[in-house]
Amino acid sequence: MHPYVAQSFRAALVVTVLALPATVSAQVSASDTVTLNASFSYVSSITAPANLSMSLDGVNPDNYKSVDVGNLEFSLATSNTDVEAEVTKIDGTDVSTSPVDTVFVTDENNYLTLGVANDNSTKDNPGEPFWDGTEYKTVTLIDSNGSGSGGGALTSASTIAGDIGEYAETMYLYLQQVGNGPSTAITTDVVITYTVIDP
Amino acid sequence: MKTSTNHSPRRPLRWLALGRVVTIVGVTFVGAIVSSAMAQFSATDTQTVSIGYTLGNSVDAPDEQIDISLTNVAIPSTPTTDEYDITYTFATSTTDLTAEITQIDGNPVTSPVDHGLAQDASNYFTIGLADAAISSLNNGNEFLTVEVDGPNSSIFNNYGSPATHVDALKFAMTRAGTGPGDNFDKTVEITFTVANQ
Repeated sequence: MHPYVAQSFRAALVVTVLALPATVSAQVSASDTVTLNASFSYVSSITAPANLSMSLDGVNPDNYKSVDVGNLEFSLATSNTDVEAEVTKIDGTDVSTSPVDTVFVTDENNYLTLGVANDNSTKDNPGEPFWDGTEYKTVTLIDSNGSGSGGGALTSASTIAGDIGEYAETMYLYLQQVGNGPSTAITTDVVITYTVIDP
Repeated sequence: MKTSTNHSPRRPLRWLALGRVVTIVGVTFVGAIVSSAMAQFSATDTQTVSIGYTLGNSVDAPDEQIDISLTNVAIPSTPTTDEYDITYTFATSTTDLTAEITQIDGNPVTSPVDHGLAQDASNYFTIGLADAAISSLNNGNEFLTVEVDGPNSSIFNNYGSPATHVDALKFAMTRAGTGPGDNFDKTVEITFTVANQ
């Protein structure tokens, strides 16, 4: 082959080879992936409703009064998580084993009590008290095995129980005079402690 | 004998001189022939090759698996990962880079509710891409395609520039409402795509 012809042929090959990548690279799209290990976890938490004042007039014919105290915000980390509330201090002092020695109780049949109601509560079906004439009580607001204790301390307790998630539920507190009520007028602070717990 | 005496004593010199001339001419002629033959093998010419190179679309996302987690009481409530490089090539000035969630736990995505990212339209968590802001790849109703680098992008800003680019971004989670309604722990595949518009 004549050297010039060979040179020309080589040049032609080079041009052809150069043209091929350009054709291949003119692809329309390309993609790649990345993998995330993503998790979202509910942990137990609770935020009590805001502080408030409530009172009951001894001449109230029903001897009963319930108040919408706002939202109780809580999250359930497991399907076995309960929400409870109890009175832990009265007038700045930790509660003892019995409410008898407080200003609220005259005797086991005559006292003023505080409790958790719901939007269906009435004088005859008031809700769950934090104490009666003889003892303090822990009120189960959400029972993972069913509804709230008694008639349901929270209106939506039956639909929340055992269901992982975060909630904000309207809560009611009530005051009720039992018997003749306390023997003196009362102006005192009561601290309610709310707890989320997986027993 | 005039045999040799007939010759002028100068004649041999003339022939000798003539012979030299012929020899010189001959050498010159042969040299010319050789010179002419050599010229054929040293001929030159030029060629101009116009070389073109077209950029090809490509993208390279991080190879490692990336962990990210969020709780309902987390502070900050919008966690982000470290920065990861995305290397991509735009073949043309109208090529863009997008990202979308394509699989969760190995299954092609359908809706956020089906895969446990959402309870409903208002309560869910998102997985997103973070730069100055967070661009979510889902909401409560659907999975979204995020324009990572394009005419309306707020993440990367190389649209319109055919070249290879390397930019870093973070991955993020956010929560809306009360979250997904259950714990979530799954692998999420995000696909980055470079495509001509």
